[in-house]
Amino acid sequence: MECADDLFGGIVMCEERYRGEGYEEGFAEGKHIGETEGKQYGAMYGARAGSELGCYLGFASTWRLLLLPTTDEKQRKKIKILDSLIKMIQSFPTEDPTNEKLQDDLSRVRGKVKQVCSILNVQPDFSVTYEASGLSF
Amino acid sequence: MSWVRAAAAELQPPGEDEVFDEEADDMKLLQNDWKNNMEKRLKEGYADGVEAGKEQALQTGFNVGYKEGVTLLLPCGELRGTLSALVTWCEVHDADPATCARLGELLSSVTQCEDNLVKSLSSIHRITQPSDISSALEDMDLTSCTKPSSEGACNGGQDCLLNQESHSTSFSRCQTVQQLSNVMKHELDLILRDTIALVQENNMSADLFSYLQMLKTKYCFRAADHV
Repeated sequence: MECADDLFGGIVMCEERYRGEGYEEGFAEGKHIGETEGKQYGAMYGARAGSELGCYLGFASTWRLLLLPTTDEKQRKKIKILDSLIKMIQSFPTEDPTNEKLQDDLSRVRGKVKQVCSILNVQPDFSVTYEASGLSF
Repeated sequence: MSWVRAAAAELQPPGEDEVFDEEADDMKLLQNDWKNNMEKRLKEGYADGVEAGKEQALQTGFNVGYKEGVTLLLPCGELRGTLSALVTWCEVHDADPATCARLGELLSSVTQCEDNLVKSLSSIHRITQPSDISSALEDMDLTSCTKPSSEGACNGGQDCLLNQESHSTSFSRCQTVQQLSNVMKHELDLILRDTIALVQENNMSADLFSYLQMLKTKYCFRAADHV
């Protein structure tokens, strides 16, 4: 152990060495904590996004199939707007939380869903409460 | 801190005991001082390291968790949306009240399933504090779940499929996302089966029937076995 050989230089060296050793140990631990913590938050946010988008997709797809092809102008308008909502959801960057357009796209989808509900004249209850997750959305 | 002890021991040459007590005391004081100092450095380094490591891994972890959460919840969401559509369609078209009520029940089953799923997902990823361990052990009910490996209670789904447990129990027993997914697939399969039966009874639409079948194939556990 060189710090015992040369006390003066050793003290400085040792301080750095201990600091470095502590840092390395801490870094590994911190990485583990960060990963777990990030995963936890990510999973909750992802769950919420997946549930919401899935719900809109299922809603739109099902209504689309319930509306029979027709020459009626009103009905055709409904089909058209449902088709556009479905397309919008399918092109959504669902699996990429780092996508910058995520929030904008989500707002657009939500807006479209409101439009769809109004044109279909229905008020579905899409709300879910994830009380247990400890996160309020 | 074995480091500190080893270094301190080396600083004390043999025969140290033979010098005057006064000097020995001084030496001891110095050693203690030095030891404290090194411990302080170690702790400082540790704290800085934890911060840096955390910062580096947080986003990566978030991305991984996010994908997991999206993939896991998408099927539940889609079925919930489907049932919401059927319920609202029935309302608009003044359908048979019994059918409406049944669809409403199925909708609450999906919502319940989703709620349990999120609850369990959140506890799977919960950061374990030392104080949590005992309660976590109780929660996980490890005493009755003695299989130590990843072949846990829900793996493969078979155990859960056979057990007539309530949904929330099956979910709360899961220790991995894969297990959660298996329990969920089973739940969704049951709900979809009832939904398909209702749609057929009411002659709703052939396309809708195919869509529901498609969901079953896409999302459900061992879908082929049930067809």
